[in-house]
Amino acid sequence: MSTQDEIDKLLSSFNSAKKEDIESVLDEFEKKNTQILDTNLTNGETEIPLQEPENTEHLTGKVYPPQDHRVVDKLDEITRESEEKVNQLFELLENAVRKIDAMDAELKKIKPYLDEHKKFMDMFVNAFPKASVKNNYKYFSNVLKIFDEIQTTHEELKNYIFDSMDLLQFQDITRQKIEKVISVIQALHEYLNNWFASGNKVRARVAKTIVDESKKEQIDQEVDDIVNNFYKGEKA
Amino acid sequence: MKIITIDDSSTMRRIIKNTLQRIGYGSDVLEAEDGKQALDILSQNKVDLIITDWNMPNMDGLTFVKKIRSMSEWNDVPIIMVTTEAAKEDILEALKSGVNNYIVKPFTPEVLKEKIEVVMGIKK
Repeated sequence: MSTQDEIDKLLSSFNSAKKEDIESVLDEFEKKNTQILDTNLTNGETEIPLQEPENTEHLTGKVYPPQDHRVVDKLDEITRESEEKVNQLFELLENAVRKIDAMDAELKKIKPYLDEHKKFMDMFVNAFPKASVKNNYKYFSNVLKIFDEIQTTHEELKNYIFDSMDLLQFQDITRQKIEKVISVIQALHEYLNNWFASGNKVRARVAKTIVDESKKEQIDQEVDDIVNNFYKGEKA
Repeated sequence: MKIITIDDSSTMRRIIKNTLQRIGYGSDVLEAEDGKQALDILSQNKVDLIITDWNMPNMDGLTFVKKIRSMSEWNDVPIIMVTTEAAKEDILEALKSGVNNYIVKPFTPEVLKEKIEVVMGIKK
């Protein structure tokens, strides 16, 4: 008989059994097991193993906490995920810039024809200063104005996107702030007997100073002064 | 101009590469995750400019700069350090080790362009 057949047979006999019969069997099972447990505890013969959390690993004889409790590993995961997402975002922004550039290229192809047409219209409106021609000329001038506005808007859009790209540097700065937190945790890790993480990853040197962005201009100026003074001193 | 950018953050490498393109220096950019990988790349490629981070695993930026400066073929290549380190003693240490100019993150395209032009002798 196949396994599935055995399961089906068991299920069918379970379903056909009376409810009272099942309950009495379950009661008896529970009573029997409680008795065994009580006897073992009284005699001290059996040590009941502690239930280990799910995903616990045994490494070099030590019991590590479940993955979710490994703070350093979790922080590494957060920085890795944020880096991935920021890279995806960056890719989308790059795609947007490429699309704008492609549209601009098309607009640039049309522009000479529009300019030529404008010359013709200038001449035409001077030769035939009728109301209908003047209206048409006005309409065409508006089209040209809109065309120029689209090109300007494209430039503005690209600048917004470039500014957004520059702002994505926050990810690296935040990552280094997290690395600082990790270095503190790793010091604790020594005391807390590998409780926080496996600590196998080769880490970057931790940043000593991370700039307060509100003082960035002042810091940039100070950096320039240090660099300039250094080279002045070298020359002297 | 051939440039190598060294940073353990793929986001930063991407930002630097993109910024270089925007300021007109992005036609030929190599990338390395740390100093060790950069040395491997430089053993097979000639570059005109090195842009390196400081804090990286395996080989940090300062160790990399010292190594590079000890090699005769790389003695003169301009190096810009782009890092979060903003303490005066760190900047001086980097300069003494052979860094030509220094940028504190986050940077703007204008600052990167200006520093490149200074180290490349385009701007005095």
